[in-house]
Amino acid sequence: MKITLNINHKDYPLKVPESERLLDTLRRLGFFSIKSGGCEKGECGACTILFDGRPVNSCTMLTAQAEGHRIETVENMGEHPQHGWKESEGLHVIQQAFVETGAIQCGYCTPAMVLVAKALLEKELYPSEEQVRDALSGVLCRCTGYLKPVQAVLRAAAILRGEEVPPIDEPFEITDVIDFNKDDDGTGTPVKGSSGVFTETKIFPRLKVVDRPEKLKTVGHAEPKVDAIKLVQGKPAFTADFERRDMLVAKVLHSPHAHALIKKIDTSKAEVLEGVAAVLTWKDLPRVVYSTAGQSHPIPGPLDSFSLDKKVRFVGDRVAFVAAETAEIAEAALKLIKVDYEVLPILLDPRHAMEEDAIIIHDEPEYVNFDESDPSKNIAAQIRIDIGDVEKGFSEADLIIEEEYKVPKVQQAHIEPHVVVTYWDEDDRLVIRTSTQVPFHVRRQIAPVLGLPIKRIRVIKPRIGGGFGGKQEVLVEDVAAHLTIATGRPVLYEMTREEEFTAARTRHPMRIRMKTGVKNDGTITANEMYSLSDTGAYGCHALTVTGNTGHKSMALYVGDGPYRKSPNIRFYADVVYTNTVPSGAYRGYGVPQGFWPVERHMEKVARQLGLDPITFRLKNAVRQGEIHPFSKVWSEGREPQPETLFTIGLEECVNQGRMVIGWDDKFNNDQWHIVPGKKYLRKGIGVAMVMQGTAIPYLDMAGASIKMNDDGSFNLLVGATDLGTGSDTVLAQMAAETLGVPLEDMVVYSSDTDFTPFDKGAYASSTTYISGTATVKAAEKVAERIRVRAAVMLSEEGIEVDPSEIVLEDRKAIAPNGKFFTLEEIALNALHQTDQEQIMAVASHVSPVAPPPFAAQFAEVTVDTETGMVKVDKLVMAVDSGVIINPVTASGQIEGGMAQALGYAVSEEMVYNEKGQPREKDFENYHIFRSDEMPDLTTIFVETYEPSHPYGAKAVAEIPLDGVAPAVGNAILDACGASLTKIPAIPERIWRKLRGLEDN
Amino acid sequence: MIEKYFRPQSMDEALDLLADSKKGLVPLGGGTIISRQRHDYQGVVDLQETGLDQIKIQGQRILVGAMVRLNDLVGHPDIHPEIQRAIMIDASENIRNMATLGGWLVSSTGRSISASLLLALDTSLTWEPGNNRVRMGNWLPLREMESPGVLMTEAEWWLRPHLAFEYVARSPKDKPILITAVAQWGSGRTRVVLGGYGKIPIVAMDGPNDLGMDVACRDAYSKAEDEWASAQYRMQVAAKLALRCLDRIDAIKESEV
Repeated sequence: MKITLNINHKDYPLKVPESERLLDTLRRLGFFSIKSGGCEKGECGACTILFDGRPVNSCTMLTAQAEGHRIETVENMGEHPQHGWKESEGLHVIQQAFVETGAIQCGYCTPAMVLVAKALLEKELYPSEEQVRDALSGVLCRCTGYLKPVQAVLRAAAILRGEEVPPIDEPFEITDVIDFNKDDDGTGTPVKGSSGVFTETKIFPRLKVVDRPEKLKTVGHAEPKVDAIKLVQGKPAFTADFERRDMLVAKVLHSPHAHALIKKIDTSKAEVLEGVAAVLTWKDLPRVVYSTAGQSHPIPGPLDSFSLDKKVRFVGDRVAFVAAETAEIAEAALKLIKVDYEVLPILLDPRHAMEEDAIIIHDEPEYVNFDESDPSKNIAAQIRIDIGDVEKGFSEADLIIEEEYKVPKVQQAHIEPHVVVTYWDEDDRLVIRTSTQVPFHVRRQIAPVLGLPIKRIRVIKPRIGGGFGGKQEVLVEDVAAHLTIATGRPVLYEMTREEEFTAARTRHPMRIRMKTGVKNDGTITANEMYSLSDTGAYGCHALTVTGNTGHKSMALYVGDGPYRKSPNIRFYADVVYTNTVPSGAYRGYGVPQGFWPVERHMEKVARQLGLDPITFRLKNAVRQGEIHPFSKVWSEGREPQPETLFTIGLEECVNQGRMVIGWDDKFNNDQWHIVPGKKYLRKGIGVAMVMQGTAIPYLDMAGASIKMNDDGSFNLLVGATDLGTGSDTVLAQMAAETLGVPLEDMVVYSSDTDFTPFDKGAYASSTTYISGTATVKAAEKVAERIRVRAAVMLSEEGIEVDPSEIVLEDRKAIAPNGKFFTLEEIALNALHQTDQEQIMAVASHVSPVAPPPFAAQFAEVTVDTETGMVKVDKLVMAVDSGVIINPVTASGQIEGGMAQALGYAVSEEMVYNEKGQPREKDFENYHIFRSDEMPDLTTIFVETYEPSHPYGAKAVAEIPLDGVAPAVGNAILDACGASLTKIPAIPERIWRKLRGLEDN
Repeated sequence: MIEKYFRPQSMDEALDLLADSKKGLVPLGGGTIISRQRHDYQGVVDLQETGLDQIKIQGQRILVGAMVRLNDLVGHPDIHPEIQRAIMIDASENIRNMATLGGWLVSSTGRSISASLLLALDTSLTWEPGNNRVRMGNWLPLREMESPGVLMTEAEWWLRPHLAFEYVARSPKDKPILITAVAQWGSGRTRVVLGGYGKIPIVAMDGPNDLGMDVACRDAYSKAEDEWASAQYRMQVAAKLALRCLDRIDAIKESEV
């Protein structure tokens, strides 16, 4: 049909099919700011447009409906402030506020949020926080926890009203005891909503500096993200924004059965459907066994996967690939594929996996074992770690307390689905443009699967719309690549939201048994954990995720007195196959699974002994200068090496956190627990202490390359993959600090296997630490070359200076006497004038240690004792992540992490029926928090100086996932006496607990 | 596959298109439902220009056109605050800007708070052709089997009853697993509706007063078991929530005195 759309005040006469969605039309026209979350029900809102000034979802609207209406997109809102000779109006005030406040992480939902803010502020220039949160309620964000987007809208509103707003980069250092209840504490303009949430317009997080040697110019400052300007404009920066002529669309046929053999598969009708370019089944592909886990060589897990197999092992497993001219044709072709299955018995309960007569899920002869894996017993991995003499420790205990805990399967739920584009380039090399956390692993691991040498493959990682471990997996690249090989044409494969839930990866669910021996004075004499971990149908990350479950959580409490010197710790685990969607990497990587039982158990022990839960924990917690107890016996990478913990700010984290949440006024205060007028409501407060890791010692390696340009600016090329965390920015900040230039002089490019140095990828909270050190090393080499050249140039002017005396600062190389050359002068000299050279350097880094970050997590809840419904009112996290390179991006990590962990605590789980069919296939049933229901979030950084990093940094990205669930669980216990052993804390679970009924 | 798109300029024109069953056309409200089932229809009749987006007051009843958007209800002074609160929980800002009342009711499940409230208010729905007024409670159980007409044009409910709801969910804006909605008229008539389970909310009680509402709730949900909650839980908690609703209504009545 012919219609005319008015988009951004311009008419577009179009011919469109009646069934076309507005989202597809607009993207076809090049409005790439409108994203797809793959949901089709409008739950995620990434596809938001303004429709006659109101935000709506373009994925649930037919294009024809839009005729006669005004459509607005972010493309109409602002532009880069520098456009050469053409005067630029710059960014819109709202866009600028999003950039400045750190409201942009992955940026996938940012254009939608900006439009929503525009609609709100055009209607209401004095919005309350509640109004802002309601306006944003239609746009799901998995990165930010919504705090900074709310702050951005409030800030933009203030600017539009002509008010002065507080500066962003103004440190908020805690120098002494601060009374946070005071009205005027310098936290900016508070806007209180009736929901009780209280957002400060001051963006800089609270910082308690324990140990920082010097004030720096770029490091430690709230620099805007280097990719923020393009993301806030909705530029075509993501994988699916890339277009190639003749590009095909791929779709995958998934298994309806949890366990079955494909007896016969008939693709003849699908193949002849007009518009279908290729249909592939297991018969068409070489049978190459591999692991989809994106990890270093050799893969620390079994090889048990095929691109396509004649056996399916879970509902959602792959059966066939189709490439067609359009998505609709590809979907139609899937329906024409006839598959004759021989349905096999299924194994869903991991407790039965290792039984004698258990169903065997992996009986393929090509299976390659790793370590203790044994497919004949459905064992993907096994761990047996004993530290000290555990039995002796138990025998010396006054009391032994045991309990079993359970954690659920949950989904990463990044808003950008898995997506890849593949094509042959002009040299017949296969280009894979993919939304991945591990581009170099993808290239290495996929090469044999495709029958191509590594050198014939180029992997490009554009911007990523969130990953959280879900994209540490070689999950979609082979689909598109096989179809490109089959057809010779470019292929796009983008998962739907349903596929994300049924065919991607999840967090390992576990049943965990704890046994703790204690003296009456609270000294832990022995601590034991057994984990039965469910890896689902494939063993990706089976060993390493579950290894972390014990390695991190069981390392925190070593005991006291003689036990501190020689802790008794046991960690055993069996990781077994079941016929469910595979587990894999998910932010926290096994550690959140460990801290739910450990921190719930510590609470139980403390209460049983009648001890204060904080005092009891700190008495037994590992202390500065002690050896990481697991470092002598287990390593995810190489042979274990004893590792001393030089920086532990845990106690200070506790001090700061308890002060901010008001622990001392609330805990053990009967009056505080009561809600006046509502007898059925009880308030509670809880705490959890946690530690994580920073990269994998002796294994994680990163490279960085820095090149100087004519104007004294630098290209920084890194293989590190910024998946929205801001790692490109913090790497550039460290390089800029080292080179004495402002951040704007660093041009960052990441990551492309043809052009950037190797990096293991974005996982294990390693980028700031490992890639950052590589970057600083490269910068130091470049700085050295600059100093040497500056010394020569000074010498030519009769000033003799040792290069080591020259300081790089303010874009200058400055001699002790104050004489200087600008970096531009030095660059021109090097490139064009004297002893010409390209000043550049490459460096790489592997760490012998993995200094853990520590944190104290506090939660405040209100429990309805008649219904069991829990409302989390407040989350406060005090974190020791070493020196914070960028306080705004780092606090964004904490806030977003706490929001994800909140879902793990109360609402998120994946449930299967007796046939192995999933209950959760969309964001309606799988509930991630909306902006208008978030609790108050507060982040405090306790800065220690980690000596193994050039700027003193440790990890920040994963630790916020660890403590929320147990802190909430402990707060529920404090509120109403319900001692939960399972999460999520759903209403009926609490209700049953309060009535002494069994959990069903 | 949607192969035809019509945008009639009046209700009569829309009815002419929809009445011909051979055309295989279905009404299109905001699009939040139809567009995701693009392969199940031959065509759609877009109702955006049919004038069915009016809100009128007639005596003690309010008449809401089927094409009124949910967000227009949220901002309207004559819509009961409990209905507005329910819509804010049920739907995000974006959905509220698109979804129409008619489409929302046609696609509502037992987990919709706003549908539960409208059922508690004994809402009537007008269907065309024939100006056929049907009580929502009679329509809901049969809606998948037979339709009172080809097009719902209006919903109508009482303005004056006191109204309250309570719900249970995993988080404040999650789909509820239990809803209790109570409407009480000046005469004492009390309607109790339960939701959070099944395809539709159900009337647990419609009596001359509020006596026995907790028992009615237990009876009504005695078998309300699914993958989200047990019947034991739902029946016990529903009774508690019904009494809470009544307490809230009593408090409002007291404040009015």
